[in-house]
Parts: sequence; C-alpha cells; structure tokens
Amino acid sequence: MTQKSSKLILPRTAAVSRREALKMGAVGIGGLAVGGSVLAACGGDDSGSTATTTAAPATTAAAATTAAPGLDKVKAHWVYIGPPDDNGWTEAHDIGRQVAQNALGDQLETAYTPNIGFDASTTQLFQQLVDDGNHLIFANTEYAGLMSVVAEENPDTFFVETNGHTWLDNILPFYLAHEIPAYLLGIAAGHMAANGRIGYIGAFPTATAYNDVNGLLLGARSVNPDAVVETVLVSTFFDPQKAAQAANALLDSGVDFLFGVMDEPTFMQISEEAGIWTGYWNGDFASARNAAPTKFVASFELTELGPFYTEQCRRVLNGTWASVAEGDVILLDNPLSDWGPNVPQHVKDEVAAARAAIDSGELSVYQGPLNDNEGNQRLAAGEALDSKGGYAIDWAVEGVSGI
Amino acid sequence: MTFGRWRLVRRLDTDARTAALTRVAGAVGALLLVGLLLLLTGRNPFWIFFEALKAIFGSQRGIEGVALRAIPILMTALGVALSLRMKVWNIGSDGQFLVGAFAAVGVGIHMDGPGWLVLTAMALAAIAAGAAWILLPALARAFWDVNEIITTLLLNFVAIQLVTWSALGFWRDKKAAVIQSTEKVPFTLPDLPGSKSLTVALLVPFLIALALWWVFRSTTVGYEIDTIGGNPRAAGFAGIRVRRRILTVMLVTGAIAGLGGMLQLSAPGAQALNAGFSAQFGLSGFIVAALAGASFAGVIGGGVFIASMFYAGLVLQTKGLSVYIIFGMYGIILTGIALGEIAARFRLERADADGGVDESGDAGGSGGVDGSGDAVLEGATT
Repeated sequence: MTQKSSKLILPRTAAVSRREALKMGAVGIGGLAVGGSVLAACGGDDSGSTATTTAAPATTAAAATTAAPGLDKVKAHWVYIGPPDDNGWTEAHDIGRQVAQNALGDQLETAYTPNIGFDASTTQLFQQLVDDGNHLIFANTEYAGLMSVVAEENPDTFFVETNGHTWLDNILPFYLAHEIPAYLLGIAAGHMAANGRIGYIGAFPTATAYNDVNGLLLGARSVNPDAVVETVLVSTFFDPQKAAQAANALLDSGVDFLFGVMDEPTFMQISEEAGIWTGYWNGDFASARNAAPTKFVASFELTELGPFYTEQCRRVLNGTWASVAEGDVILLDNPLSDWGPNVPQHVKDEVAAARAAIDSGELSVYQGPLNDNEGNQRLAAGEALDSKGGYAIDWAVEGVSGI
Repeated sequence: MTFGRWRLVRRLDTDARTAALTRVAGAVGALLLVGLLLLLTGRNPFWIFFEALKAIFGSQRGIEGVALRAIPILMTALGVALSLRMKVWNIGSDGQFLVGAFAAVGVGIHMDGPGWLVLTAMALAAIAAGAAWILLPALARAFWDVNEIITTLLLNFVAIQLVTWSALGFWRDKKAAVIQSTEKVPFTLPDLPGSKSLTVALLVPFLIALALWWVFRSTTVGYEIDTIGGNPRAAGFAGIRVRRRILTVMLVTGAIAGLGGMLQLSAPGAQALNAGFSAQFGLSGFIVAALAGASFAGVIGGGVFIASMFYAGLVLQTKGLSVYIIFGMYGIILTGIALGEIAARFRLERADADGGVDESGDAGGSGGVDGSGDAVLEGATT
C-alpha cells in the first residue's frame, strides 16, 4: 500500500465536466480530498477486508441529509476478480472503495471479497451477501448470469456491475471510456515508435480490447499515417508468464511501442530491457513505473472509480439509487496518467491539445470514413461513433492485426 | 521404526472403524492447530469457528449451499474412487467433468423439444462425452500399459482449451463482454420439493454411491475389480479378463464425472459454460477419493465435509477473513486428514513386548500413500 502513487487520489479537473458520474462535482472532489489524506495515513492491514471507518466525519455529510426517504447507514460490499493488492485493476477498485468509505464515514459500512472466479460458487457468494443485509453490491468485473440470478430474486438489493451487459431495475452497468486514453496514448506512440509499429497484449476479443487497439491506431495514425497495431491475445488478464511470452514475441517481431491490458507489469519490464517504449492501463502504480523506469510513457488512470462509488453509495443513502435504461451504460472518464520521465515535451503538448479537442467536442475518436480490418466500411464520411457506441463495438479498424 | 520403547508396526488390515476414527482425529488435530495459529496471529478462533458453523448449519441456505458445493465434488470423487478400487489413478476427472458439461451445453442450446427430453439427451451426451474423454488413456493403459496418471492429467488441459474455445468462439454468448461464456441452457433439472436452490441433481451422487456399493458387495464384477486392484497378474491367472475390466472401469469413471458436468448446469447461475466452470472440482474430488481410501461411504462423508469447508470458507471471506488465511486453513485440515489416513495403517506397540509378526521392515520410509502393492485390500472394508 505504501508504494501507491499519491497521484491516484488527486482529482483531475480536466475531466470533471464530461461524465455523468462526475455530476456530483464538488461533493465527489471533497470526498476525494478527505479520502486522499486518510489513505496516505493508513498503513497496510494484512487481512482486514472490512475497512473500519476511521475517517473523520465527511465534510459533505450535510448534503446527504437533505433527501427525505433513505437510510441512516448503507452497507455495501465489493466483489473482486483479483486480490486487492495486485498493483492493478483490483487495487484501483479497492482504492475507490476506500475513497467512498472515507467520504461517507459513519454512514457507510464497506467490506470486500477478493479472488472470485466464474463458477457456481460465485452465485452462492452473491446470495450470501444479500442475506448478510448488504444494500449495495459492487462487482469489479462482469459476472453476468452468475450475479443476475441473485439480483432477480432480490429486487431490494442494488447491484453495480463493471462492464456489465445485464439490465435489471436493480443492476447498473458501468465502465470506462477506453478509446479516449488509448487514442491519446496512440498519439504519443505514433511519435515515439520509430517504425510506427505498436504492439498490444490483450486478453479477450471484447469491446474493451477493440476500443484499446482502435484508439491506439487512430491516435497513432493521426500523426503517422503508416502506423499499425499488432495484437496478441493471451486469454487471461493475470498470467505473468503468458504476458512475458507475448511481450517477447511482439518485441522480437520488431514493435517499437508495447502496450498491455495485463493486471501486472511484467511485460513492461521486458520492454524496458529491450529499450522499447511501453504503456500500462489499470491506474498509475509505482510498480509499473519501476518496471520500466526509463521507458514508461503513461498509463490509463482509474481515479474516477472513487467518486463514482461514493455517488452510488450516496444515492442508496438518499433513496435515489436507480439503474439506467436497457442498453444504456455509465461510462467513466479514464484519463491518461502523468507522463514518464523521458517523454518529449512536444508529445505532451500535442496530447494535451487533443484532449482539449475531445473535451470540447471538436474531436471524436471514431470519425468516419472508417473501414474495419476485413475491408468493410463501418463508418461513412461524416459519421462518428461516441463512447456509448464504442461500448458495444465488435470490430477493429483497418491497420490493426491479430484481433 | 522404533521410538524408545515403542515401535511403529504396519497393520496387515485396517478395519473401517479405525480408518474413520484416525481421519476424524487428524481433522480435529488440524482444527486445533488452525485455532492455535489463528490465536497466535491475533485472530479469534472461537468467533471464526462459530461463524463457520453458523454459515453451514445456521440456515436452510447454508445447508443447501453445502449440498450445491458437494454435488460436483462427489461426482468426480466417485469416479476416482471407483478407479482406485483397481489401483488405477484417474487424475482427469476435471477434464471429463468439463467435456460432460460441454456436450450437455451443446445439446441444451441447440435441441428443440420438451424440457425432460432435452435434459435426458443432455445427460446421455454428458455420459458419452466423459467416457469418450478417457477412452484413449483407458485403451493405452489396458493394452500397452501406458501410465494413466500422465495421460488423464494432460487431457484436463485439452478439455479446458476446448471449453475456452467454445466460450470464446462457436457458442459464445455475444451479449456478454468480460465473462467469456457460452449461451445459457434454457432448462434445469426439477427442483427438490421444499428447496430454494437444489434440484434432483443432489440425489444422483447418492444413488451412484449406493449402486457402486452394491456392485462391490454383491457382484462378481466388483470382486474381480478388487482382485485386479490387489494383484493384476494374479487376477489374470485366475481367469479374470483384466484388460476388459480396466477398460470398462475407466470408461465408467469418465462417464460419472461427465454426468457431473451436466448436473452442474442446473446449479443456480451456472447455466452457461466458461473456462472457470469447474473450480477444480476434479482436484477436490480426487483429494476426497484419495483420503477416503476408495470407500464409497467414505467418499460421501469426505465430499460433504470438504464441501462444508469450502462453503464456510466462502462465507468467512465475506466476514472479512483473508482468502489466504482460509486457503491455509484448508491445507492444514486436509493435511491432518491425510496424516490420519496414513496413521490408520500403523499401530504402536511396545518394543520389548516381543511376539507378533515383525513387519517393521516394510514400514520404513514416509509411509507413502501408494502402499506399494502391500495387500491392504481396503476394498473389503466398505
């Protein structure tokens, strides 16, 4: 816990105006600030899943008392695919949980269960959590039917599912707008990869992966029309050995930039040793920066999870929690982290300009005409696809191979 | 092996009561050790044991949760136990379980018809697939004496890839994103009356255990299998068709595990197949069968015990106990039972009280589980 970059808990003002989850505005920021100070002070507790509420009374507690029907105290539980100290995905979610805990103080009781896979015992777990009296249950990956059978039978318990595609009155799907940071990092990669070849290590051919590779390619092509993205899928998010094999294969084939959606940074270490620029997702962790001290470019930040979780808990507290319409989704901003030490200034400036253009609506990542990598036209000239369209995407842009 | 005035003597035969008692003693000793370790690391073992017992026995949900956990473990364990009667090690029950589920899903998502018909076809497909998955190892073992431990084990990985392929590719549910799974089978087995989550699938392992018990108690086939387990060469001289029996028994063990895969598709939430569908049920089943010494009653008892342990572990995780501590507890408890299993095969006697047969010669070493052909004939103890 001590290795964590303190930046993780700082609000990123550039993103504040854009996303639904950030409508809470100052409330969430206040929570973040409180959470940050407490986080910095708290040491590593070995086993304690249940975060005890040591937080000072939240500065924003007054806001919660305004709504009439609701609860005095919300009991919320997080179900994690991995361990909460993985230097990656699950740790970022657990930091989000702690942000919510610290923001809401005594009004929120949180706990989590780590390492939950995809067999039938997962359904038993969700049922147990309902029986334990949880009002709100978060899942940090998509458990689909394993979770929704429990949700169907327990309409009074609310579920929030990461990357979910099940819509019930009590299941809210949310995710991250991946194509935007991928596009921004793609601009950097387009400049920094001398031969224009970008390597990508992914897990499964899902919309997330398509948004990653498409964003990288379109960003890179915006500065280098010959750029390509070469993909290796390894069917897992956490297997350092497979990730290392994929990294070696891509580096041997000659890519000049290596990005991965792995939950641990082994591939970055290999990239560093090969002298190749590299990037990470899953938050800004010291372990990732240390894995590639000179070649780290940037990572995708998960700082919006904290405010989002806080808001969901607050809505249950106020009695205003609701899901979204079928087919809809809440997409959080997924900004780029601070740059690595050796990224040239002109690259930083150019990416900052692109971010501003995206925020103002001038620039869209998916802007027609676009063909997929099988030669079919997907977007005609003048057409664009927004982030919610990207959430359901199932094709790779021309120039991407291996997916 | 001597300890001062005492020495360890291998028993020629172990009766069922001693076998059960030493295992229970091993488990109790392990629980005490776990409690001590929890205490030393500043946790309250009484609270943890209380919560564990409450999780299991405190509600209908707990009891049903254990039963749900037990079904796949019992199905794989019964298959392994049957093969162990013949001293054949089927390590591939995970794979047979998965291909059974795979075949059942294939039938379930493609076949039109009334539920009972589809479910029957699913069960038959699962049985056939499980048996087919062990066919090559069985032939290789029966005719060319190829070590079945390696062949059955390696086919597990092939089965996982097959399931992953189906979940990622040809049967993929395109609505989902992260959880790579097939589409859902629209039918589940009929519910048990009065139950919230159990189906008639629960009855199947008990019926199979009963049938196997009867086969070994009352039929020539059972006797022949036990004889092959004792000494295959002697069995051959006695006129038993050893190859044929090996082949049959191995196919049946695969079929039982395969049927287990189909039954699991009726568990709540588990109507679709993904790479994580078998949470190493085969491994758990193997542990149960090995610790039960291939006794079918022991398999039932051990399977329910291990399922209770896993279910309690799941609930304890939600109460804030770290998953690593829980895994450590599992390990200590299983080791305790394994030590009990070994202890059942020895007895202490006074070194100066001479008399009796001197068998200490072959009791050296660490008392490996294989017993190296020593005619323990645990078969007779059920």
